[in-house]
Amino acid sequence: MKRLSILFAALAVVLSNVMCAVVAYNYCELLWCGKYGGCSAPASTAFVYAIPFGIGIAVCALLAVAFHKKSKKQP
Amino acid sequence: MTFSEKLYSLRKSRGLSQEQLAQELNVSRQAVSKWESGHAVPETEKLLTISNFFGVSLDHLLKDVADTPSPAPAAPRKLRLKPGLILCAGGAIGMILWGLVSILLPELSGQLSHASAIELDGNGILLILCTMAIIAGAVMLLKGPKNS
Repeated sequence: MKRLSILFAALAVVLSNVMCAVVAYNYCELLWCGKYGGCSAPASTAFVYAIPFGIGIAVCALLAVAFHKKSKKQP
Repeated sequence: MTFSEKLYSLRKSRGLSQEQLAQELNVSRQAVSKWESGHAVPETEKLLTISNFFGVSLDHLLKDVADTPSPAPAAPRKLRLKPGLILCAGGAIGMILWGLVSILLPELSGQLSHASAIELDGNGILLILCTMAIIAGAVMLLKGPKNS
């Protein structure tokens, strides 16, 4: 249980880092595209990518806490 | 079969070493060794823990009935958690990999986008699938195995 807790905590951390990278990358791309590429979508549209990552982070964090509590309860 | 023989047989059926069983039961390896050799008997609290861990009744553990067929041990908790773990961790890893691919190999991400046969963007489908896998896996993990 403790190992599962650590695994999901690590996944949550990695997901948050990847989320920041993906959102930042797409924000810059949309910004450039809006200025020079003729795209109509605003750069803030990139934040839509944060939604699935946010759900993943929340679920992984919840599981990490749940498994941590279960490992403490075990005799 | 005596208690010590039953404990040995149950441990072997799960493929656990004395050390591993001791860790699961939060006792020392020496304690497990003494129980299996018949030099000691666990206290009541530990008997309950052993009974719950192996999914057998206290009657089965303690009663020395030679011909009593041992009930099939309940599937270990780890096996019952496996599908949920695979779904959840797999979804999270899929999401991480997609994120890295979309940044490091944007052409590949673009191809995935155009490969979609339906209106929804290919990247969006993949993200939705990964999210659903994470949520389904989490539900299975949190629900846990049903107690017999």
